[in-house]
Amino acid sequence: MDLNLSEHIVRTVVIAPSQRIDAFNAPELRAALDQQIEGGARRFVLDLTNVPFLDSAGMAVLVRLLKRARDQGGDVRLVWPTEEAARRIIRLTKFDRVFTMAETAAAALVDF
Amino acid sequence: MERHPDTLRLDLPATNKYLNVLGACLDAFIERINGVAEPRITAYNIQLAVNEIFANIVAHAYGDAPDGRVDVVVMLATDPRRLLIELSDTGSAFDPETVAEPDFEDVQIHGYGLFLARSLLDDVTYVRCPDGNTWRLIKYL
Repeated sequence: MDLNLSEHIVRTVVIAPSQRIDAFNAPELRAALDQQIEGGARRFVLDLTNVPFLDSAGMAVLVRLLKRARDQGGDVRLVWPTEEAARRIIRLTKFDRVFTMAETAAAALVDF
Repeated sequence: MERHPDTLRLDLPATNKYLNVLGACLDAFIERINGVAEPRITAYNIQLAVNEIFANIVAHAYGDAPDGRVDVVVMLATDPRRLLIELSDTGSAFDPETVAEPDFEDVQIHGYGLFLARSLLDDVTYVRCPDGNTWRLIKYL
């Protein structure tokens, strides 16, 4: 039987920073994510569980990643931060409508 | 700003490197204020708002030039109780009116900083002074 089988693997990366993300270190995160995109990753889970603080520069990195991933046919899932104030900021900026949100990285991976 | 005995004054280099120092100072200052509603969330919101104004000064007033300074004054005022925060610099003028609100229907990379500061505080005022700029922030507690 000729099955004409082909396998398609979409590389998925989980990133789980554990420090504050602000205008000082956001460029470092952006560079790391750019490197992953250029290396072929298309699906990203940004696990914000242990991120104690996220400013607009960090949020800009997330949006940039989303645009770049989608341009390549991929997508980004966010895991809610534990910090309630940070969760409220994600709602305030409506990031929870732009990104698909998950409570855990495992749930985010299932969602892809 | 009229000085109160409890006024805190920080003289910081105009670099994002010390945003964590600024944030920690604000957190610690607010922690010692009694009876703040939702203290953790209030402290986070104030820290984030001030962080955004500071980063804006670094990027726009000084254009990431390395030798600028930012003078930050934090004061707890009464009747009504409020936190007053002033950030002063000697950099270029900034026109807050040129900053558009974020478009939530078409997510964008930039434009959230001033939106966050204005959303999280009760008042955000920018003043162009002869020798620089001053941002006056108020949060009622």
